[in-house]
Amino acid sequence: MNAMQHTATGMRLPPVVNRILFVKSLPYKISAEDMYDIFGKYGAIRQIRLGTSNTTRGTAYVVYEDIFEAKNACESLNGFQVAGRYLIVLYHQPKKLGK
Amino acid sequence: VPPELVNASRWQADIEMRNRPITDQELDELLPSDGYTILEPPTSYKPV
Repeated sequence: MNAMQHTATGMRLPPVVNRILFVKSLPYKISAEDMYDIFGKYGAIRQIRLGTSNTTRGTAYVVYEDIFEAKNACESLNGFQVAGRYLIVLYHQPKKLGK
Repeated sequence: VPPELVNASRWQADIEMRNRPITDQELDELLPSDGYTILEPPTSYKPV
């Protein structure tokens, strides 16, 4: 799958699309290698934050360097099966702070 | 300048703005840090 054309050939992105993906229903004991293996296939990863407390376990934030790669990863990995669980991949919507 | 070119440059600017590199500090503002650990990229990881 060649890297998508990034030039502005009318390639518009809905505002919801951004480079930070929020991932749910991950296996609790998933390793950094697995995380980088699964998500790294879609593009260069800026950072991964894995939930480790009992309220955040099974979730993670995956930040990509490029917005098109994040979009591609989100669409391809939603419903991807890892250790018998179907991944849920959403765009992170940071709550607007300072109201 | 034909309108579609104006649009294209506006979208390009929008995308470039949304694609600018994120600083660690910005990440800390955007993402929770309590309850989450930042994973170290494994040595075998080579960015695509």
